[in-house]
Amino acid sequence: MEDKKILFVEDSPTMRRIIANSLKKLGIKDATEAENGVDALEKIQKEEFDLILTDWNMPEMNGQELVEHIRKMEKYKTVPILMITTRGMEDDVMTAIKSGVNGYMVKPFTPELLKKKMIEIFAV
Amino acid sequence: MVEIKNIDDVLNKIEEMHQSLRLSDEIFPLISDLFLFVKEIIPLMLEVNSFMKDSSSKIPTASQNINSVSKATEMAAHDVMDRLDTISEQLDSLSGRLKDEGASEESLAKVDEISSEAGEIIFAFQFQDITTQQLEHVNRILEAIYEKFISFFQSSLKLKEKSVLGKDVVEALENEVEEKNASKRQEFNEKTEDKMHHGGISQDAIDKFFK
Repeated sequence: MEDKKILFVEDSPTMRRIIANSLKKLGIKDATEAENGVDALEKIQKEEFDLILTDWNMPEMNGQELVEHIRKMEKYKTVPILMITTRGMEDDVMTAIKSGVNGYMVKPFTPELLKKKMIEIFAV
Repeated sequence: MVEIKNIDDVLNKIEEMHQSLRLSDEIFPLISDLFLFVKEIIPLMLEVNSFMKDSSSKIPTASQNINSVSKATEMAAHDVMDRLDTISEQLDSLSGRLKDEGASEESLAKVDEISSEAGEIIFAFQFQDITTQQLEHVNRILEAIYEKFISFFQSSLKLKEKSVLGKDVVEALENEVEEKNASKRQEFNEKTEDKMHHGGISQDAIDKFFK
């Protein structure tokens, strides 16, 4: 897992810092951050990532729209996407799944849960 | 046309209409009742309108304050996280030194435990993002209410312009309501006053008053 290249998309500077900190603790050396869906799409077109972590509620382009865009891209059809959001209703989870996410976590989450989800995703 | 200054003038006008049109006794109570209803409802609507004017002027300030809260908690969270990062680095350095000096497993475990606790505190700062999103939701509601208030206020102005009689009646009632509402308005303004008044004066400027 340590050699994986990860993109995390978050509009909150506090959350970006927390996620960067967690990934560092998990031994991830190559993590890139994006502030919203538009920023993420620009980065995705320039580089290739093994996993994308994304928030849902963001300005410019939200996480759900981002996932739909990503899934239309040939090279990203199967790249795992984990959504991390404050939206905790069943309908939200179903919408995210329909859009193409591989995992879903509701904030606040624990570092243990993030680790578990990432292990599950990379094990598939 | 007779000038209308108060509610009694409105009722006198009805009486005049009664006389001049020689309305039958069956129709007159209906019209009179209708005007009595209008007499009750218009002051109520004017009071709502007056409240809308007062409260809508406060919404942009309330909205700005909410944004300031989000910004302040974000800055405070980052300040604490900076300090926690420094503590973690120092603990890592201490752990390395203890290993080199052949410290006991127990001591090393204790340092690891403290380091892990520091990491947990950083994670707990997710509350800042969650509360910011909740405040943004409140802000969106306030903005929607503000837009609705403005729209109601504009509609009420248009209504006033629709007929000469309507304009006179509404203005006469407005004057009455304005007087009655003065104390209510003061109470509302006191309750909703922004008591922070941040950013108005610098400490240097304050200190100058004491020299």
